[in-house]
Amino acid sequence: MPDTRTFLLEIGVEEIPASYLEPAVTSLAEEIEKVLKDAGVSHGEIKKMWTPRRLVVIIKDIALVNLKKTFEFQGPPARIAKDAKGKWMVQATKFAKSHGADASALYIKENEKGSYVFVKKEVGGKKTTDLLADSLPSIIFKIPFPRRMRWTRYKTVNFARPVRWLCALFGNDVLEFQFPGLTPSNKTYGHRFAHPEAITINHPDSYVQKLKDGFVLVDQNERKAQILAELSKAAKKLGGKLVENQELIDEVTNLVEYPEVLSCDLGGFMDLPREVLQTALAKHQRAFVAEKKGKLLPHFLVVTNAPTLEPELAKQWFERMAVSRLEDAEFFIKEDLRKGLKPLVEEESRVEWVKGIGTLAQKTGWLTELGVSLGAKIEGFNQDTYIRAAHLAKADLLTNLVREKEFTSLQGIAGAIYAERSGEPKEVCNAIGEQYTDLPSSNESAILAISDRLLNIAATFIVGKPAKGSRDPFALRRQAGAIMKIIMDRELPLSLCAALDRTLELIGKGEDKHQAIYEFFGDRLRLFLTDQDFAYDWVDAVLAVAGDEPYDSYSRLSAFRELDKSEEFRFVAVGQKRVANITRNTRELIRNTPSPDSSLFDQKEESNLWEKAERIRPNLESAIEKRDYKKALQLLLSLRSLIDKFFDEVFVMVEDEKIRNNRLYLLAKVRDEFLKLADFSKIVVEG
Amino acid sequence: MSKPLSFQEIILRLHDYWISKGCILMQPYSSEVGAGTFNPASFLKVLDDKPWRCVYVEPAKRPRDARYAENPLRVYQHWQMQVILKPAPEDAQELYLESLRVLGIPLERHDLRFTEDDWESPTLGAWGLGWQVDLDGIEITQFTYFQQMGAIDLPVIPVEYTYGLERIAMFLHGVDSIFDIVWGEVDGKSLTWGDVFYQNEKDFSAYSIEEADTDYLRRAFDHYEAECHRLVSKGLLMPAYDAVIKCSHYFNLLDARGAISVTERAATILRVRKLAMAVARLYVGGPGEAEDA
Repeated sequence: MPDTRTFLLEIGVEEIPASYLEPAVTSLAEEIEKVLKDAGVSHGEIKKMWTPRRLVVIIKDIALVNLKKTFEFQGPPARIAKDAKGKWMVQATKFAKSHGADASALYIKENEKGSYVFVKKEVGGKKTTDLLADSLPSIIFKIPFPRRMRWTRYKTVNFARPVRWLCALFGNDVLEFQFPGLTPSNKTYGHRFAHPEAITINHPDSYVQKLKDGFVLVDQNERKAQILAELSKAAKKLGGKLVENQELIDEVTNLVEYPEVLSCDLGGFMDLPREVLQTALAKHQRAFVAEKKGKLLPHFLVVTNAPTLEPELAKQWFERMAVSRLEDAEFFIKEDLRKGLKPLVEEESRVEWVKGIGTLAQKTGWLTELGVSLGAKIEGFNQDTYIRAAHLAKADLLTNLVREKEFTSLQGIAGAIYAERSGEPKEVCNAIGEQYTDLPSSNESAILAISDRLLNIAATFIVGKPAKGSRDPFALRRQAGAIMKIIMDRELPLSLCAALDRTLELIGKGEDKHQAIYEFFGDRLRLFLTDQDFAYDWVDAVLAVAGDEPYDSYSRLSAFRELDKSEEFRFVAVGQKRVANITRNTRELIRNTPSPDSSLFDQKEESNLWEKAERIRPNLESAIEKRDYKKALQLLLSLRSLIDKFFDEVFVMVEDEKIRNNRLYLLAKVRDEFLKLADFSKIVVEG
Repeated sequence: MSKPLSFQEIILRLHDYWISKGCILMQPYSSEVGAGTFNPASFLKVLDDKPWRCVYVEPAKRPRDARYAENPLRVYQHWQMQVILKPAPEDAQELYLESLRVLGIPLERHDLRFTEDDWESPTLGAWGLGWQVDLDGIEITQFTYFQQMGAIDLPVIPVEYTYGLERIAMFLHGVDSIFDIVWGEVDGKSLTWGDVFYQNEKDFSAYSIEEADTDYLRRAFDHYEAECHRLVSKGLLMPAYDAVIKCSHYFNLLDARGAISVTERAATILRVRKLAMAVARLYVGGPGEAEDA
């Protein structure tokens, strides 16, 4: 075991946005790891930690130096290296010097070219502290953030928020490195108010505990567990149970250093729709709620970051601010209900939807038409319900409530609430309320959710703002993914091409962008399927023959999954590859060719294969018709041994053209049977 | 506990504090603005690379927030305390927190947070990164490291603190309504915020929401827009900037009257932004270069 140390780097910052923290520390850790790896420095476990005020990486057991490697360098020929007395001459000593070696280290060795002077040089053994000191400054500035800022006059010094201290230790020693305006030290700081004094860290091992003493739980996992435990406890104390909100817990974990839970009272507002209440409290106060028997309790729970808080005082203010937000919400809802959704539908014609594409009223019209044509394919689709829901779907975007920044996330939900209060049928409200989710509970909701996204994606592409590389500001990929998910979850028999054709026809613009839109959806379908843990080669095999109906592709793949990795499957793939290869060049020739002439068969393997293929065809076709892909696959697998025997015993490429072509026809026809299910030749066979 | 500071005492304490930190005391600007940042002591003074520190109170006039004195938290005109420190000092956060202690707020006993809030003023072509400062859940200050102003990358990064004075006073006084804040005393008799500004709120609400002459406002907007371009071409910086402020205020009034459609809104903001950019360039480059704008 080489001598090792533990390394600690803490970047002390002014409060960094919650969503920035995890990606930033991950990048920091990865970059340091890469530097160590490239230099051949061994190390142990890497720990990533963060709070809003610190980005932390701890690496255990880092070797003090990197691995040594020896290189041999060739010098001048031996004949000019030594004088008569055997002493090194000037050319040899110069050579030694150029490699930083003493002449005494020189030696003569034979190689294939003759006899030469050589010297050995050891590379490596560089101190890890030097390596880190050299690389840390650029690593730190390379941390990716969604937005960066300057805080000094130096243009190159930028970060998410100002960096205020650096605590860097290598074992017991401070690891010094260059950083504009700051000197790394063994000092850190505790909680801003509960322990503002500097804390000296003597060794990385004591870092976490010392910060805990300074009212900072630096390990986010520990904070999160504590928040969840305290929230649950507080909810229980109120006589209910916590309404979990994972996203909010994650956010709050990244907003505090020393979490505690403060239980506050709501007073009234229990008539407000549950979603409105929850959203207002979550968005504005980042507060949680508790429920009992499905009803919210008139309380809210705030996660504070103040170990020396005076709870009674603070509680009052949290409550007052909550009241003021909820009064606003109440006011908006009252106004909206007074007006109703109907006049807002009319107002849609005065509101632009996407610049250069059309108004919101036009979108509503397209939404109706598109959904009706998609729904026609779906059993039990209630067209009247759909048309009513689509007609009202976008009106809530013009309500006071949804126009308010903190309630925009209630789009759809607000519409459903208002529609319900104005007496619309339940199914209509339900569809309005679920149009933005990816878990619609009815076919009408599903078609509305899909149609809305189809229009959004198409319009965004047409106005020239496609998803590109890492940039996808309109979340087009997520929207396409949601379309796929809904289709699969609800087993909808929708054709992608037909849906896009209709979408683009309705919008009636941007023909030059159409190709890109079809390709985008093709890519998204492929990605969706591989994300379902279908191997990419299977996905390719299926998409090659059945890529237009996403749910159909999915069903085929699901049937194949049951035969995952079986020998049988492997042999089918091998057989189909051979068939594909041998018929590839003659594909043109045999297109539209009649069946092979059985009178030309002169080996039993030919007739056996053909007879079996003929025999299974009706069953195969009916299985595929019924989408019983498992059965279809079993039927095809029954051909497998006959194909193998054919290849074992029959030579296809015989001189006699008639016989040769007849055999190719046979293979091509058999291959056509397989192609009804998938192009099995695309499956990668190992070994 | 001793008697909390009155509204006017809060202003005086903060003035004293920031003057002791090297700030010059400025005064509100003489034209209607929606935020203290519009005052040339902020907008123009941050554009160059010379040191600058100032403190002033600014009445922020926001027609869209007018509520006829009926909403306890929203008013047509509220008071901001604006502080600019250029360059931003290393202890920008601590200096700010100290100013709250000066007001008698024991920070240890409250939950004070720096909450992500990226500030942006589309009309001024300005943005910065920073936080809103929340005290037990009440937003009391906007804290921003300016990055751009008038679409110009700032050579020296300033910090701007915008205190919501009413919010702080409500917190100190323990009242639920802006109108109940104690402003000060006249002859030993307490006067509330409402005593002083009730009429102002009533009248300007009616004006902003019902009475403002939208045809005139549109014409005035167009006039000052043209005037701004003309004055920039003459190199008359300050009057040109006044025209920007006027356009911005007329836009706010038109917006409050509901006279601007969603589409028109974005386009109008862009028009004001262009003016702000032209003036900023004039300030930075002198009259000669501004013609390219």
